[in-house]
Amino acid sequence: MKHTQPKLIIRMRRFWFLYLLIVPILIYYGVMRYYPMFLQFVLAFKKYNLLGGVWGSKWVGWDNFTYIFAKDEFYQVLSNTVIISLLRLLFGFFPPIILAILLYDLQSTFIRRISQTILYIPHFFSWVVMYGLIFALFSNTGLINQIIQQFGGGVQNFLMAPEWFRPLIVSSAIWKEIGWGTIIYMAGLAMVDSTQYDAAKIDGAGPLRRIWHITLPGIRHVMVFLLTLSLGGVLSAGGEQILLFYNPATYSVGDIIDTYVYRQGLNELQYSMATAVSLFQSAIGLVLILVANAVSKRTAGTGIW
Amino acid sequence: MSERVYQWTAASIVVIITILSLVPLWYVISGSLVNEQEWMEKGGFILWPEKPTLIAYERLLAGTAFTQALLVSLIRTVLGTALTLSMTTIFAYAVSRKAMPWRKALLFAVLVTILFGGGLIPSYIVVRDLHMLNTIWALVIPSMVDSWSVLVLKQFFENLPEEMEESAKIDGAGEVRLMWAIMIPMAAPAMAAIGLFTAVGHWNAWFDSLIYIDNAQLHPLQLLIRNMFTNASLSVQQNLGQASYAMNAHNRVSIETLKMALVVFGTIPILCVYPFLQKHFTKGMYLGAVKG
Repeated sequence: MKHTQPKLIIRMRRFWFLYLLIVPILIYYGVMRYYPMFLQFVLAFKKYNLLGGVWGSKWVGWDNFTYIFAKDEFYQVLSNTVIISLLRLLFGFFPPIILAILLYDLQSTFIRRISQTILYIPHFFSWVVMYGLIFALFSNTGLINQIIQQFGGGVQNFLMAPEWFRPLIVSSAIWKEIGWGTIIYMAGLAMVDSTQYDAAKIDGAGPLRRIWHITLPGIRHVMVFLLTLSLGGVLSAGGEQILLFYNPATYSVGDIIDTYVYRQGLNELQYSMATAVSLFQSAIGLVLILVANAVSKRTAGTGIW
Repeated sequence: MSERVYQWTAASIVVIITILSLVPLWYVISGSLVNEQEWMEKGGFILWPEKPTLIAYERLLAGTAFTQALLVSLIRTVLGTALTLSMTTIFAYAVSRKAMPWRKALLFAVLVTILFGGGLIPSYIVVRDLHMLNTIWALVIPSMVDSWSVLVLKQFFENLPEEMEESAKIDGAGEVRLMWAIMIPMAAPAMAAIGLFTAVGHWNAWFDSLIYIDNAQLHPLQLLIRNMFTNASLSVQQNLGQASYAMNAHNRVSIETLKMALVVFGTIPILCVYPFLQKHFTKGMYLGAVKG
C-alpha cells in the first residue's frame, strides 16, 4: 500500500483536467441513469402517493406485484407482448438475410448500388412519419381502399380492425428495417474468404449449393448474435411503434407491456403499479438475455459478450 | 439452377423490393402536391400529380402551429446534438486513456447503463423533480450522453496510431494539448458520424415530448404530425385546417393533402443528410463497434 499510493496520486494528477471535464458527465450518469434505476426498486415496493412523493410514500412489500399478477388484464398484455415479439422474429428475421445474400451475389454493381442507396432510407424515418405513410395507404380513404373500391370491393377499416392490427405492425416494421438489416450481414459476408467461391466454381457448384455451403455458414455467427439479442428483447415488442398504431378498438390485440406501463403510469397516475410491471419486464429480460447468451455460446461458439 | 437464371431472379427480386420501399413515400409526395380539385376528381388516388402545386406547403408555412413546431424541432436538434456530441466525445476520450486511474470503473458504469434502464416512471419522476417539465431541457438532458456512442468513439480513439501520442510527448505536449490539438481533431470523422445519427434521432423523437411537454406551443414537429393523425388534438387539426380554406377552388387543398405535406416535411431533413449518413454506415464504422 505504502508503495502504490503516492504513485496513484501522481498518475491522477497527470489527468486532472480530464477528471474536471467529466464531472458534469458523472453527475449526469448519477442523476439521470443510476438514480432512476435505484428509484425503480424503491417505487415498485411502495404505494406512491402524489402528495408525499417517493420518499413520503408507504412501503408495501410485494403488494404491487400480487396486485398485477391477480389481474386478467396483465396476462392479456403479457401474451400480446410475447405474441407480437415472436411474430416480429418469425417474419422479420429471414427477409434481411435473403436480401443481403441476393445483393451480395448480384453481378450488376449498378443495380446493387442504386438499390442499397434506396433500401436504407426508410430506417431513418421516424415512426410518426411511418404512421403517416401507413395512414395514407390504409385509412378508409387511403390508396389501398381506393384500389379495393375500383375493383368493386367494400371499404376495409384496416386501422381499426383487430384482425389487421398485428399483420400491419409486423409488416410495416419489416418494410422499414429490411434494408438496414442487410448491413450487418453484408459486413459479415465481406469477411468470407473469397477463395472458397473460386473453389466452388471449379467444383461446379451452382448458386444454391454455393449459398448453402459457403455463404450461409459465413454469416452464421451474425445470425446467432441477432437471434440472441431478439430473444433477450422478447418482452419489449416495440412500444414506440404500437403507441402510434393502436387505438381503443385494437387494445385487445395490440396493448403490450410498454404501452400498458405508459397508460397506467402516466395517464392513470398509477406510478407504483406501472413501475412494478416494468421492473418485472426488465428482470425477465435480463434472465432471458443471460440464458440466450449462454445457449448461443455453447451451440454456436459466439455470444454477445 | 444455373447462374444466369439465378442472376435474373436475384436482380428482379432486389428491384421489386427496392420499388416497394419507395412507393409509400412516392404516394405521399404526389398527394401533397395537388389542389383540392384534383384530389376530389381522382378520389385521392394520386400517383402522378397532373398540375403539381406547392399550396399545401405554403399553407403550412403560413400557420403558426406549424412554424412553431418546426422551430422547436430545430432548436432541440441543434442544442441536443451539440450537447450530446461534446459530452460523448469528452467521456469517450477519458475512458480511452489507458493510463488514467479508475478508467475501468467508469467503463463498467457505462456498460451497466446499456444493459439496464431506469424505466419510464422513474425517469419521468426525475425530470419532473428537476423542474424540467415543459422546458426544452426535458428533451435534451435525459439523452445527453449516449452510452453506445461512448463505446464506439472510445474504440476509435484506441485504434488511433500510438506513434501520434508518443511524438506529441517528445514535442513536449502535455495531456491537455494532446487531447485538444491532436486526438480530438483526428476523431473528426467518427464524431461526424455520431453527430449525424444523434441529429436524426433528435429530429425523429416525439415520445419524450409527449410525456414531458404539456404545452402544445412547445411541441416539436413530429408530435404535431402525430397529433394530426391520431386526432388526439382536434384543435391542432383546426388550426392547420383553417389554412386550407381559400376563396378560389384552385387554391384550396384538402386536409389529406395537408397531412401528406406535413409527413413530407418530417422527412425532408432526413433526406438531406442521408447522403452524408450513408457514407458513414457503409464504411461499417458502426458495425465494427458492435462486436468490438
